[in-house]
This record gives sequence, C-alpha cells and structure tokens, in this order.
Amino acid sequence: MILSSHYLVLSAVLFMIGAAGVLLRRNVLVVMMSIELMLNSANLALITFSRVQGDAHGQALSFMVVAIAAAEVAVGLAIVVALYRSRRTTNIDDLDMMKQ
Amino acid sequence: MHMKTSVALALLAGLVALGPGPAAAQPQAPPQRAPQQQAPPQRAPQQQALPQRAPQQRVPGLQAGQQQQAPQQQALPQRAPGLQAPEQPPARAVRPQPALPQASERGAMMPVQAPLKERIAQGAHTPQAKAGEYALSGARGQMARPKKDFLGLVVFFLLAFGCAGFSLVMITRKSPMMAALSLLVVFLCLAGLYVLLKAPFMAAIQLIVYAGAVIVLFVFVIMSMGLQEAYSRTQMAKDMAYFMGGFLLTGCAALVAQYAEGLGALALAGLLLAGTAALFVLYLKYPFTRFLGMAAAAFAAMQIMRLGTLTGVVMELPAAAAKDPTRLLPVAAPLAEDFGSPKSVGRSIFVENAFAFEALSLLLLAAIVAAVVIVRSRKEEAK
Repeated sequence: MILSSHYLVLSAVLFMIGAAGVLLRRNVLVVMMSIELMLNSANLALITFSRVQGDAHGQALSFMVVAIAAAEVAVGLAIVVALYRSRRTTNIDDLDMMKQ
Repeated sequence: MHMKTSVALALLAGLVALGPGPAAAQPQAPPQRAPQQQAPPQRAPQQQALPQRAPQQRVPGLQAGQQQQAPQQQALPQRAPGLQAPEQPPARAVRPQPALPQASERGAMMPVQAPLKERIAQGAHTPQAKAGEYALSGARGQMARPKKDFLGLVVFFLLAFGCAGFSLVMITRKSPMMAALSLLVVFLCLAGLYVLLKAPFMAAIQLIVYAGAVIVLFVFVIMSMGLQEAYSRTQMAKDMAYFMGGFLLTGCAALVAQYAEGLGALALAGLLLAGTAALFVLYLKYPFTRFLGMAAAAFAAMQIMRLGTLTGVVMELPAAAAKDPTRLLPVAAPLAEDFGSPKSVGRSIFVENAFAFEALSLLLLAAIVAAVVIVRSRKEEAK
C-alpha cells in the first residue's frame, strides 16, 4: 500500500538534495536547476495532499507554482546570459562585483 | 450553503432530466411535490426527493413507462446546441444513474459546483469518467488492499529512486549539460508519480512546461555558452550501469522490507542496501572525486532516511493507518470520478481562483518583458 508518507518522504529527499545543490555547487546554471528541483518537490507534496484530501485546489496551486517557476527560469537565465556576456564566467564565486 | 447549492443542483438536474420547457426554468412558486408515481421509478433517491414540477406541466395521458422517455425527446430541440448532451443510450433505463453528476456534466449553465465531498458521497459514476481515470492509473479507486497493488508499488519505487538518484547525479556532475539531462530524467519520473497520484493533467503540464520548455531553455543556454564537455560513450555506459545497479538494489531492498517480515527479511534488505553503498563507493572512486565529501554526506543522509522508512515507517505505517485512518492517509482513498482531470483542475483555476490566475498572467508578462530587456545587448541600447 502506498501511503502519502511515501510521497512526502520522497518530496523531503528531493528538497534536501536541491538545497544541497544550491549550497554546494558553484555553477550558476546548476544552482538554478537545484532551485527548480526544490520547487518540484514542493509540487509533489502539494499534489500528494491534493490526492489525499480529494481536493483539486492543490493541483491548481501546483499549476501556479509551475507557471511561476517558468517565469523565474526565463528571468534567471536572461540574467545568467547577460552576466556571461560581460564577465565570461558562470561561477558564482566570481560574481562578487557588488562587494567591491 | 452546501445544502442550498445541492438543492439548486438537484433542481437543475431534475429540469434537465425531465425535459423542461422554457417556462419551467423560471423560479417556481412553492415547490410542489409531485405524486410519487409521476417520478420515473428508477431514478436515484436524491432526485425523487426533490421538489418537482407540477403535474400539469407534464405531457398528459402518458403512461409511466413512456413518460420516462418522452420528455427527453421533447426537451432536446429546446436546448441550446452547445449544452446538448450526447444521446443517452437506452441502457440508461436499465441501469439507474445518480442524477447529480449527470447534470453537472451537462451544465455549463450551472452557476456553482457541488462540493467534492458531496459528489463523492453521491457516488458519481459515469462509465466514461471511469474509463478515462483508470486508463492512466494502475490502481482502482477503492481503498488499497496491501497485497494487491504490488505493481503500483514497484512502479512507485522505481520512479521514486529514479527521482532521488538522478537528482543526486544532477548535483554531483561537473558538466552542466549532464546536470540538465539528469534533471530532465527527474522531471519525467515526477510526471510518472503525478500519474500515480491521479493527477494526469499536472503530469501533462509537467512534461510540457518542464521537460518541454525549461530544460530546453537550460540546454540552449548551456550550448550557446559552450559549456558542454566531451563525454565519452564508455564512460557514459559505466555511469549508467552504476546508477541502474544502485536503483535496482535499493528498490529491491525497499520491496523486501515492505513485503517480507521478520529478521531475515530485514537482514536481506540491509544486505541489499550495503550492496548499494558498495556500488556508490566504487563509483565515486572511479572518475569523480571532487564532490566526494558532499556526495557521501548526501548519500549517508539518504540512507538514514531510507532505513527509517524501511524499518519504522514502511513496516509500521500500514498497520497504524489501518488502526487510525485519519492520521495516515493512503493515497488510494476513493475520489470523485473526474478528480485530476483538466475539467476539475480548470474549474479550480479559472472559476475559484480566477484572481490568482489573472495575477499570474501579469507576472508572466512582466517576466517576458524583463527577459527581453535584460538580454538586450549594449549596442542595441546605444542605438
């Protein structure tokens, strides 16, 4: 029997891995992918609860999360491209011009 | 409130099913109870209980048997073509169907929708909805019987370990291209899990938006920056072999712990997990040592969580859920027939959360404009 806790544990694991990626990786693109992963794990939890409660609102909310994630990727990748054009790097440790 | 809407729905159901003239749609004077024999004998009880139209509005002189079909035929030309339901087969007379869900399928004119729980209680069963829902999901909508949905469990564990494993691959690969492709696999596995959760619409959205748009955007940016690296075929084969072996071993361990009982089973599961760990160590020794510490920590955390899942959660949760179903809910509880369909999700998005949806469209517009403005080159700006 698959319980909701199975899905929730998986969601927590995915979120953990995504957070580890955000904290440990230095490549901007991989950091953004890890953020996507974390958003997806939240979506999985939302859809699980929607399934358990029998309520379609959870799916509607995860639909909106998807749309927001798409907007975030569009803007984020535009920033990455602009930065790469001016600095020739995707390493976030090199992007410290606001410190100077 | 619920009472009111359900009465309104039942009223509409009665009007649609019995074939109203235009006059019948007008608000009625104090609901007049029709004699019981006027109601077609095989209707659902809710409908019999509703306030029905006065008998004089019926076609006079018809026997009860004919009465059931005649109003339907009468009603068809009067309806707007868009609202017209497909012709009911004569089999309908044999198998009684609840009135409410029928009407809610037809009723584009219906202002409010009955709450889900009511519809579940009414047992909304239409064969089409059933076929549509169960074609995608493996299990039936009834309460799960532990030994019967073995296939569903296997699929779940494969997809779950696919998700977890490839997301680990994603954060451990040096090449962003490999990361993007592993993320693609994670998204595909998640779409499969959404189907298991009876959310086929969200699965489709996941495929279209993430696999179709986001990953393509990532790959496009990576390629345009020239960040992709050579990845030899033998190395790829070795990577794949290691990860597939790891998934299979952990999946077997989870299944053993789920279905077998006793110390021997636990030992076997532990052995399989040890095999996974050994594979992982072997793999890490092989070409990539850069993220060894981080990957090992993530792996250890995962193993601890998985062990907790195997020993404590997976073996005891079903028993606990059987004792107290309110605390731990199985994801196989009975649902409304159209749960997760584009119709129900769309109703939630466009009707009940319309404002959020409009705000979202504004946000997307802003994102488009922002992306264009940010990426525009300096030379163009100078012009």
